[in-house]
Amino acid sequence: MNNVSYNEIVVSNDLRSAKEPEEQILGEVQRCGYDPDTVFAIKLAFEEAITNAVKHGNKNDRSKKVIIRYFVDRNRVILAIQDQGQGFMPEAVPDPTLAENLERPCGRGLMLIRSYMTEVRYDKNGTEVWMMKERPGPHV
Amino acid sequence: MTSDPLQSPLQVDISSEGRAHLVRLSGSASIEESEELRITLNQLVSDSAPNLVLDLSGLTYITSVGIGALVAAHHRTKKLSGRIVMVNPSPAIQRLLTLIHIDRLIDVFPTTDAALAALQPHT
Repeated sequence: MNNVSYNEIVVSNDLRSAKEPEEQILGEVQRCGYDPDTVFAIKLAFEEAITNAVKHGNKNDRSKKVIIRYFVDRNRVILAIQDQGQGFMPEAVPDPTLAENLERPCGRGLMLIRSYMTEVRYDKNGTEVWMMKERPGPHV
Repeated sequence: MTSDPLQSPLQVDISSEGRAHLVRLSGSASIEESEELRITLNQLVSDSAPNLVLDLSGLTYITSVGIGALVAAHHRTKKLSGRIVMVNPSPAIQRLLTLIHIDRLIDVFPTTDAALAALQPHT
């Protein structure tokens, strides 16, 4: 999906700084006529990815940044959230739905992103999550 | 944007029912509000009222951070020999709870009355 032109916003490493970009992205998503369930999915994936970037990637270091890239049209929404941490291996994160992990606070955000988005991958040594949501039903 | 259910602020209404607190959540539990929710639920649970009934019928949105607050409350109630239960989540919230199997950890009831009845000690 390299043939799209991304918008890029760089924010400081705190959750509050990501609110304005989130409202901007969701505003574009709603203007493109996506249904409420899809808006729910995109909001959830965005907030989970930002939380992971701020807390786990950048480890709450206020000197670091989070880079948000996004693309919205009537057929798909693409979000790429990059942190400035050391990266991680998604396959090493425990499955939060296993009985022994149900009460552990790890892996739920990653699982929700995978569940709600159409396609997800981790780039740049795990410092960037790239995720895409296709419009449900026939494309316009 | 306040008419957008995904953007409406989280409201937490609390009342008491015997040894249980009835907590009605409405609106959107964003990440920052979920941190506050964790503290609120933790402070509510006590030796004299170790049970929590969470009415989720008005909840429009929650993240893994909010789910973490519910799991933390589950730990707290269990520690005090109490129990936490959930009531009537919307289909969108129910889907999320089911995806991460939290409904296997915390029981879901269709009504508040059914939840309160389940918290009564067996005779």
